[in-house]
Amino acid sequence: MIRSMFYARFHTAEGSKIVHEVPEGSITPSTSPSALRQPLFDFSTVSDYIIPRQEFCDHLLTVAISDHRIIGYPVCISDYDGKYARNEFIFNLALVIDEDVEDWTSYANIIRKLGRLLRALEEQSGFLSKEEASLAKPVDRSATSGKDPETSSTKAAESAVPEGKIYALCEMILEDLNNYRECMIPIDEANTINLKLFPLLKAPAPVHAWHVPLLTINLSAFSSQHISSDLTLQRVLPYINGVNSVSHISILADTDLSLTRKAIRHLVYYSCVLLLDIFQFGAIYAPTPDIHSFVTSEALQRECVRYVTVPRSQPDLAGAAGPMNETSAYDTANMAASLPVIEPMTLIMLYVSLRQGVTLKNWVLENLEMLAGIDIRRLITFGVIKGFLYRVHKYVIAASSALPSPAKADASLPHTELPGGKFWGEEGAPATAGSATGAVRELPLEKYMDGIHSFDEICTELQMSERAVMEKMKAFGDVHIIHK
Amino acid sequence: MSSSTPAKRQKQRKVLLMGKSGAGKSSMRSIVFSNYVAKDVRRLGATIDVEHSNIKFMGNLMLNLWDCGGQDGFVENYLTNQRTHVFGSVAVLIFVFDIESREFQADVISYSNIIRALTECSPTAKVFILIHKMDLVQLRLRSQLFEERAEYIRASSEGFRDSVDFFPTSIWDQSLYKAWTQIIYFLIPNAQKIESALKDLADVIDARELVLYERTTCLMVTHVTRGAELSNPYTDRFERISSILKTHKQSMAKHTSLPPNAANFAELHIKTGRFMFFITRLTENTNLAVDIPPSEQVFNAARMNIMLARPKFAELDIASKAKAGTQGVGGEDSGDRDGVAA
Repeated sequence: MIRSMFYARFHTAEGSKIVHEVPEGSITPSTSPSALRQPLFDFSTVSDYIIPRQEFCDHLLTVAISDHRIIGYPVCISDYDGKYARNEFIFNLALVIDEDVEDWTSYANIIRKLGRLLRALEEQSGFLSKEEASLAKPVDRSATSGKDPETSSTKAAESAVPEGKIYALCEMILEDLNNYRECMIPIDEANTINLKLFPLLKAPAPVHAWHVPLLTINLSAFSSQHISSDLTLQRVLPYINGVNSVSHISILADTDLSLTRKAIRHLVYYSCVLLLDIFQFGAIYAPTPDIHSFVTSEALQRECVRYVTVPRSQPDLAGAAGPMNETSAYDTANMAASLPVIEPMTLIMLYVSLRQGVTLKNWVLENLEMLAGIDIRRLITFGVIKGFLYRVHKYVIAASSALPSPAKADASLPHTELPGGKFWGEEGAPATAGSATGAVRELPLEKYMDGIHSFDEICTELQMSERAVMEKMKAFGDVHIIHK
Repeated sequence: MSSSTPAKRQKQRKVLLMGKSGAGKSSMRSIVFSNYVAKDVRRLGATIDVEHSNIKFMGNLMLNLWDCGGQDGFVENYLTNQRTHVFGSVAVLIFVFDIESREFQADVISYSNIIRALTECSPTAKVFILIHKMDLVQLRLRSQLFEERAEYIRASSEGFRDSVDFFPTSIWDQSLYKAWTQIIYFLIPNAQKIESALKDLADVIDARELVLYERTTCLMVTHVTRGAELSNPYTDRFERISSILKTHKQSMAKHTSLPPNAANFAELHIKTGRFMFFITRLTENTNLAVDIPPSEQVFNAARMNIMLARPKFAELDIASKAKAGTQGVGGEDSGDRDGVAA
C-alpha cells in the first residue's frame, strides 16, 4: 500500500523541495485541515537521497527511514541552451511504502518507468517545467517585491490549493494503484501512462515429465489465442485435464517435451495450474497433519462432496475443472436429487484410512462399500490439492555391493570383477561382466538407483510400466525399495 | 627529521567555500583548481550539498576544499543538522558575494549566520570575502561600490571584523588569481622560510625577479623582486603570467588530448635583448619563473644553480621528502653545491 506519492524538484535558489505531495502533510508539515497530522518522516534528513547530486541521477534510489521506504528515481535533464536556470532540471517522482513490504520491486519498476516517462515528456514538451511556470504566473502578479521571480513564484504555489497535472497525476497514481493495482492516465493526445503492479513471483520449480498438470481456472472460457501466442501452449491446453502426465500430453499434442514442460511451467508461474502425481492404483497416499483442517472445516467437506460425487448419467466431462472452479460442469442441484448423499463423515473415514504401506488398490478393496458413488481419482486429487494428503513415492537404492563404486568405475584403476557379475556396461570399462548378462542389463537403470529418483520418474522416462521396471530392478539383486 | 616535522605541522587545512547559490563558487573552483577556462564554466550545473575536493598544494599542504551548495535548503542544513560537521576545524572561510545580487541584505544576513556558526566552532579561522562578478559593474563605479559593500559586510562580521580581508574578483581577469594567491599564501605554513630561501637564491644567480608558482593551479606562491624590477609598473604581472600559463596548459591539453589537470610542461625559455626569462620545475609541486639580465653566462649559471638548489627546496616541501629518491634529479652531491654557487 502506497503511503504517499510526491514530486520533488531541485530549486536553484531554495535547494531540494517538495512541490507536490499526496496526501497533504505526508512529507512536509501542512496546516490544511485534510492533511496528515504528522509527516511520515523528516524530509531534511533524506533530501540528499531524494535529490542527489547529478552523478546519482537516472538511477533507482531507495532509502528506508522511520519504518518507511522511499522509492525514487531522480532524473537530471541537462540543457545548455538556457532552457533551465543553471543548465539543469532535476526532479524526482517518488513514492513511500511501509518498510516491511517485502515485494517492493514492483513499486520500484513503476517508479523507474514513471521517471523515464516524465523525462521524455519534459524533454519533448517541457511538461514539468512549463506547468510550474504557468501555475505560478497569476499569483506572481499580486506578489509584490523585487524578489527573484523563481523564489516568489514557488512561495505562491505553496500557499495555493494544489492543482495542476502533476498533482493530479500523483493523486491518481496513488489512488488507483492502492485500489486496483493498475492505472491508465491520459496525459495528452499522444501520451498515456499505463501502470500495473506486477507481483514478483518466485520462479516455479521445474516441471517434469511425470508431473500431471491440473488447471485451477477455466481457461476454456477464453479462446486459446487470447491466453497466449505461445504455439506450444495453444496445442497443449486441451490435453491438460488432471489425468495426463506432461510426457503423455506432449505425445497427445505432438509437441516437443521440453517446450511442453516450459509452457506448463509458465502456467504454474501464474498459478493457473497445479502439479499432481500420476494417478495409479499401485500408488500409496497418506494424510498429512493438515488433515485436521478437513475434519474441522465444513465448507471444505461440502466442497469435497461436490467434487468427488460421481454423476449418474453424465460422463466425466469436466476433468479439467478443478475444485477451485465454481462453475463446474456438474449441476449440483440435479446431482443432489439423483444421487445418494455422501456423508462428510464417510469422507473423513476414507481419508484417515489411507496410510503408509497400503496401496490404493488394497485400500479400495478394504473400503469398497464406503466408496459407493465416489470418484476415487477425484477423492485423492482433492486431498493432494488441498494439501492434507500426500503421495508416498517409491525410490530404489542399490546396496553398495550391487553397484560399482565410483573408484571402480574409474577406467584408470585396474578392473576387479564384482562378485556375482553385477558390474555392467558403462562406457570406458571394456572388460566388464556386462557382456555376459542379458539385454535387460543394458538399460541405464543404474543411474536411477541412488534413492533420489521416484518410480514415477523412472517409468515415465523409460516408457515402461512400473511392474516391468520393478522386475528389472530385481534382476540386480541387492536393491532396496524405499517409500517416502 | 622528515618523520617528526609533518606531524608537528598541520597538513590538512579545511577551506570552506560558501555564498549564495549562483554566486560563482563552483566556477572559481573549477578555474583555479581544475584548469577550466572562464567560458567553460557556463556549462556547470548547480552544486548539490557539498562538493569535497582534496588538493595537494606545495607538498606539505593539503587543501580540503568544501564547495558548499548555496541553496537556502542546504545552508539551513549546514547551520542546524551539520553545524559542527561543517564548521568544525575550519582554517579558512571564503565567502563569495555576488555584486549583482538583488538581495544584498538577505545575503548579508545569511553571511552573519554563517559567521556566528564559525565563531562558535572554529574561532581561529581566517575569513576572506570575495566580491565576485565585478566585471558586471561599470569600470568607474567599481572601486566605490566595492568599498561600500566591503564596509557593510565588515560591520556584520562580528568577531572577525578586524581580520577579515576583502577582494574584488572576476573570472574574466587576473583579479581571481590575485585573491586566491593571497589565500594560498596565508595557508602555506612555511612561507617565510621559502621566501628567504628564494631571496638567497636570487642573490646567488643575480636574478631580477623570481616567482614561485604552484604547478597544478599555476597560482603564485611567493616572489622575490630585486633592483630595477622594483619599479615595474605592471603590478599584476604575476597573475598575468598565471593566466598565460593556465591558457597554455589548456591548449596543450587540447592538442595532446590529456585531461586538463595532467597537461604540463618541463621548461619554457624566452630570450630577448632586454631580458632573459625561463620557467622551470623547482620541486614536485612548484615551478620557478626567473627573470635575469640578457647574458648567456648568467642564464646558464642560473639554470645550473637552480638545479642544484632543488634538494634544499624539496626539504621545505615536506611531502615530497618522503619520496626523496625521485627528488634527487639534481644529479650532483649536495657537497658540490657550495662550490658551484660560489
